[in-house]
Amino acid sequence: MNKFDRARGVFKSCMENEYSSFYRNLYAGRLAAGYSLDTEREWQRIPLLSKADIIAVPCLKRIFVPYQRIDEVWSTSGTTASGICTVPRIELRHIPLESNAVGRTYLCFHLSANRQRMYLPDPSVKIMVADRGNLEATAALAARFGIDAIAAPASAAIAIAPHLRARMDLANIRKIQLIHERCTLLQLRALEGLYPQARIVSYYAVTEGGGMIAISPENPPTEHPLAVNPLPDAYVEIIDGDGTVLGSDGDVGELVVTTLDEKVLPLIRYTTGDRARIVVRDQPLFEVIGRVAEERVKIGGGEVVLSEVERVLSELKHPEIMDFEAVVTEEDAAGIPTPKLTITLLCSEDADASRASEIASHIAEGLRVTADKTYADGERKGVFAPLQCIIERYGGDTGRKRRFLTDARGT
Amino acid sequence: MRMYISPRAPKEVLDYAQAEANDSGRHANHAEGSCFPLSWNLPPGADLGEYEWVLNGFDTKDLPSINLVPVRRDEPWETIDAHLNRFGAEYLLGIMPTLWQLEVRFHAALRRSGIPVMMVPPINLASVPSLFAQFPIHTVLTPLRYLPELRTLLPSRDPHYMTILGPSDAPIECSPGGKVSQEVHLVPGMVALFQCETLAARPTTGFHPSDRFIWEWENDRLYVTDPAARFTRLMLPRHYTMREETCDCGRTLTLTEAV
Repeated sequence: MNKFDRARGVFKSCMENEYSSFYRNLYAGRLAAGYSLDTEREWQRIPLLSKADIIAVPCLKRIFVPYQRIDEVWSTSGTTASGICTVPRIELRHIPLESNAVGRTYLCFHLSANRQRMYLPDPSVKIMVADRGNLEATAALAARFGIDAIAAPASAAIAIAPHLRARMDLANIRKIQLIHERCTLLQLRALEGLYPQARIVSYYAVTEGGGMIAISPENPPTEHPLAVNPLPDAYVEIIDGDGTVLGSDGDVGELVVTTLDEKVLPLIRYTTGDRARIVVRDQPLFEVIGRVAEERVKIGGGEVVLSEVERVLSELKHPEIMDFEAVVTEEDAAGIPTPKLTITLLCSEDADASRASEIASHIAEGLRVTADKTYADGERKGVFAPLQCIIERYGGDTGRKRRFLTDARGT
Repeated sequence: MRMYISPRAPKEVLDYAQAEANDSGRHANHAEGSCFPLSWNLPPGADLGEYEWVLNGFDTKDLPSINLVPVRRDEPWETIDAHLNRFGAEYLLGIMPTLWQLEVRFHAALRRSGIPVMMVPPINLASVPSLFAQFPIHTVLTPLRYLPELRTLLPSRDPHYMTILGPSDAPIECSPGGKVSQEVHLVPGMVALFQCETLAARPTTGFHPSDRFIWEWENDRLYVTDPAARFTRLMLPRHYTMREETCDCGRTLTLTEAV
């Protein structure tokens, strides 16, 4: 059954079901009578919905089943500043069992055991859930539990590594299942070094868009190791700023996902806010490379976005750099408030802190900004460094700091 | 005075418990830490798929003795079942530390009654008002320590609070009205002592002992034995006085914190 056949069935029940006023309101006036939903052009008449659109409709008004059928209500963390979104779920969608063939005992971060069952439907797979509250205790328990796999955001899998290493051989970890946050190339390389025997599997999931959307292929392309394939019931599009669907390899735009078999919120063309690249259109294969609305800062004569910092750092090929934090502050340069970008490089234990300024020069070169700016203001003369690097040992909870953070004065 | 609180316990279990006590000369003591002092083994031939792993303590500070122990996924959570039967609540919010590993059992308890599962880890307490705005949540299940913060977050709401205490935790004195009930768990998810609606409404803190265990009371101390022999004559750390009375709920024993 192709996508249009499946979507037609879902659309029909959305429009006819007694509980589906949400869908009737959504499509009213947009989809003309006789709408057959059997061409790409008609598909693209399905309205695009953002997180704000979904939040605007109370949770119980956007289900078309009796509430008793709701299995679980998920809520997002609200860290993207767009508010907390609650999403009901029925019969969690599973990914294929063969994807779970490696790893029988999981340490799972930041995901409820019920939700983790979506990834691991085999009940004989054991799951220990944890958060980053006490990594020492978590590692001790995990070692006693005999884990051989980790499902976690990359930053948590990196952070727990030294604690686990003190208690078990990390070569016993056979699988790292990356969830929740986008993994960077830097983090991927760090994970490959820390867990030498682990198969690293990347997932893409959106709570508001139906949960699990895509999974990394068995052999991802070498130059795009974090590329993922959509699951059979997930339809993925990449659109430009005007909403036009892009279709060539290498095109970059906003990722839009539609889940066809989702029981509660099917057939929502959800604009994720994530920026993605089409890697191989025909497979299809795509990779998420950042957020659409990236913060931009002007420093040292150039404009910098976070994904550029990420790209430059991964191209530097310093294996000791595992992740980074970026903070923008406003400093005094001869009486003129001037933006300054401080990049904290989170490194393994063998990192040499004295190389910070050398690395800062390389980053400035890669970002095409000036590392040192000479100023003269009357009697005051000096050098202002708009970009500074600090080398720190990896501490763990960094996932949410990979965006520009401004200090209290702002910039 | 020694008194068996659970006369309906199978004789062979009581005999076993008595023999254990005679052999060791003393009871196991829960007061040595917040962790359950015994390890539990799966029964021979047990199907692993039917078990989940829960923490045998409440606090990761007890690292040397804390462990994960197997519990059947469908093991009853009798206070939730009773509460849902009593109030017919349609939405119940659970707030539980992730490391307690209780989600699967919470999920099983609610799905038996067709109740959607809503869980928030304590780190995300700030999202609770948003859930209340979207769902008519009747009851919140939470460790007692989060009660003050929840009441601050929900100043205009008045849900029932089912609060979880560890065996060492001091209960609070409840205000009349019965909106806060307290239950003492042996390990997270295993109810030992609980308050029915009548006890929750009393100003003094009283509990009923769970029917699932064999209880002994001696000199203000409580000893608990599992009929499935997972633990035997475990002494609870707090002191209780015992009163035989007929409660409105039909139970005949009330345990009150000894002063």
